[in-house]
Amino acid sequence: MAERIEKLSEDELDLLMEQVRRELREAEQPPSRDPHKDEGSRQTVLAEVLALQGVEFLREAYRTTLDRSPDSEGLEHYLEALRAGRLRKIEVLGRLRYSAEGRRKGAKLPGLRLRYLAALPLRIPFLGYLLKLVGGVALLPRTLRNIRVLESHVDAVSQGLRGDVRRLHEELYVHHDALSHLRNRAEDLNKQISQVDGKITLHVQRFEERGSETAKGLQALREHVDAIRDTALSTAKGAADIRRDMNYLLKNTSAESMVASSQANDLASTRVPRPDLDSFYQSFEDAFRGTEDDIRNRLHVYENPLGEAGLLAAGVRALDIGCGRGEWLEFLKKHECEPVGVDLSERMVLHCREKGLEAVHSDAVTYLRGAKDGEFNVISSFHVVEHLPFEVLIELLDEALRVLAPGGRLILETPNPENLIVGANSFYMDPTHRNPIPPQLLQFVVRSRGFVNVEILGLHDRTHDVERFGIKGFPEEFQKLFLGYQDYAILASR
Amino acid sequence: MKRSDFNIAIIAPTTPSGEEGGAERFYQGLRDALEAAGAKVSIIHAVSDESGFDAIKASYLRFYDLDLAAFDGVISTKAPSYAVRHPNHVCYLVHTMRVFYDMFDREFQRPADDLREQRAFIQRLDSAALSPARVREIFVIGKEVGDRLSQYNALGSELLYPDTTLTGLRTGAYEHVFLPGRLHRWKRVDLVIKAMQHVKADVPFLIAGTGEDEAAFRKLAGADERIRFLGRVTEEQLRELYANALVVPFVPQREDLGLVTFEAFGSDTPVITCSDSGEPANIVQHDKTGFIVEPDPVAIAERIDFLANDREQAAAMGQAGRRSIEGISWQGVAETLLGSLGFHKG
Repeated sequence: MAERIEKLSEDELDLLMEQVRRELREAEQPPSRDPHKDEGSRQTVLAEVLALQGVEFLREAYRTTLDRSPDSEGLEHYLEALRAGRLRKIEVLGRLRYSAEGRRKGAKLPGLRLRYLAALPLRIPFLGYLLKLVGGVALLPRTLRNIRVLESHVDAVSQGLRGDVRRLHEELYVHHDALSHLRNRAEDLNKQISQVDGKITLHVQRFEERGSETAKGLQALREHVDAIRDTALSTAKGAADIRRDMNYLLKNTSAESMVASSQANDLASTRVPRPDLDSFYQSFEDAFRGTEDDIRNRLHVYENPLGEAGLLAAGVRALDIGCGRGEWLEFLKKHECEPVGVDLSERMVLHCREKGLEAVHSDAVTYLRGAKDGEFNVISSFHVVEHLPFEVLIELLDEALRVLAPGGRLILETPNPENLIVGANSFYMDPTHRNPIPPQLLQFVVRSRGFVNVEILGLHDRTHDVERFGIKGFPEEFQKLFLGYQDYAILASR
Repeated sequence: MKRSDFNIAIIAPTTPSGEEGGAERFYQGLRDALEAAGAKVSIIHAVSDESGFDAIKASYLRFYDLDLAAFDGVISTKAPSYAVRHPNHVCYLVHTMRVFYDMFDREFQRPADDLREQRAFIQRLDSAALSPARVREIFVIGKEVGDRLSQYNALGSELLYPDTTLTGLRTGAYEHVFLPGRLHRWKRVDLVIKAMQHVKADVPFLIAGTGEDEAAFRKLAGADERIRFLGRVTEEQLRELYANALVVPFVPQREDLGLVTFEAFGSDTPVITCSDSGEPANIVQHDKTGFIVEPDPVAIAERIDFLANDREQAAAMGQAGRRSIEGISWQGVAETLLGSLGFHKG
């Protein structure tokens, strides 16, 4: 390869290209002709200058005499004078050379002085005319020859010019074609650009719109996530509280149930259908429904509904189905009513009787069947219906309706599954519970069996506890789901 | 060295106006083929200004002065791109400046001495630039180009036809006489228009393209309703026009290549060309893939009538034409050039 490069460095192309480089450089900077430089060429300078015409002549005349380009004023003046025939070229040269500026420059133009001076007498009025006339006649043959030469020159030039014009014309056509083609393309491109521009603007707009929508959506989503996180935190906290409560209760329950079951064994002589459950139930009630005092306190809510109907008065006959530890019987007795309790649990019945309350050991439906029409003014049942199969509930309601006196009232209290903790969890703390009964369902059933004025009364609200649950500030409906009425009662009339 | 490591420059002279034409498609076709063969290719554009002799000289110098040290191989194309200096240089000659060669006498009836000097200078320059010391090998796009190189520059060369860049050519109905191309007197569209005056068959003559002589050609066509000027057409229209052509009468003056011949054959269409048309007359096989006739309207008209009256024969000739150019492909061009640059396969 090295050999090859070496060979390349010396061949003809390099020589030719260097020649081209030189020629082009020279063409770019034409060497200035200095009249002082070359004596030998001087003689030809005058003839050369005089051979030129018009503007070219004037440029060269200025350059040779004054060593500068003509000023526009001078150029115009001399051009006009030459065209009008007022001055001859030799006179222009002489005037320039022998002007103040020309004398300062002192350009050497051999032959000029003599010819300039010879021309001057022609400027003298009359004598000049005569001289011109005589000279003209004498020089006529030469002049004619000059004219012929000039004619042929003009002819040649004009022919050349015609050719040039024709060629230019052709070129013009070609260029015109190319130009119109380019113009069309430029227009097309402009159109395309503006179309693309429009599309881009549209896209950018859509982008921006979508961007702001997305930003809005993101903000909403972020808020939502924050809310959910808060809820989750407080729910977890609430759940932990509940779990702690439950654990505590369970511990107590198991201790008490052990005591209860030993008591049950003591009563082995009595026929107890389900001694284990029986004793369990009493201790369960103690544990979960609250103490007897608690319950008593809770019963005050019924004071108004019954009192207004005149049913908390002497002589009112009341039946409490599932009387348990007898709190309700006591409440009624205090109001001088004549209550009687029925309970499946013999232990409960004994407990009531110990307190001097009238109680019967029986199941509710059997007891009601044995009762007379309209025997009671008030029939109540606290936390019983949720233990009953549906058919039994219906029978109980039908019998209650029959046994109630006209204007008598029915009270059915039961856990409220609208409270999620109750519906999902605490309801099942009693294994003998069947299924939670939504208030509206029980209301509907009671009404459908023929009772009137069937109302739902919400009980045992815990919403005051929101702070402890960590859901303070949450929507009320949300709070109710966890801390709303834990129980409800259906109040109905015959 | 893997092919993909070969950095190849295609030296592409462009007109000062930057106008694209057949040459630009040639450069791109060449680049695509070389890239498909695995090489890395750059097209180096530089202006070639032929508006005056000084401009021409400056153009030669411009290419001579290009710094191509970054490339492993250089492929020069048309004048004066081969003035480049590179140790691994192959010339795929499209053409020299024809005005200083075969077109000189035609352009200048009584040339002045300085013009003769200029011609001698350019020929000397080309001979020096394309000397075996500088160029590994010279490939020419047509036999005409190679012949001129041999005649004026005493240089040998190898014929390497490029392919058309018009892909997806197909065959169709043999319905019309079709001629695409620049509407310029050198393409002698007028010869075919005059021929139509002698064509007896009722066959349309469709002319696609624009150009400086369009008005003259239109005037010549006059009221002949069979002749239609379609102006500029899209590539797809061009394929369609070729596909449904009965014959393509491609009769330029001393054409160097003329991809029209390949495009017609690629569409199963026969070609009528003239004995003085240059390369097309080297490609068309008389009576087999088309006809080579004297540049005479009557002779052209006879052949058009012949094909119009025997379309089966037209189809058979067109198919023969397609088979005759089956060996010509950009892939082959790329392999040949890469081989010459010393980049062998594998």
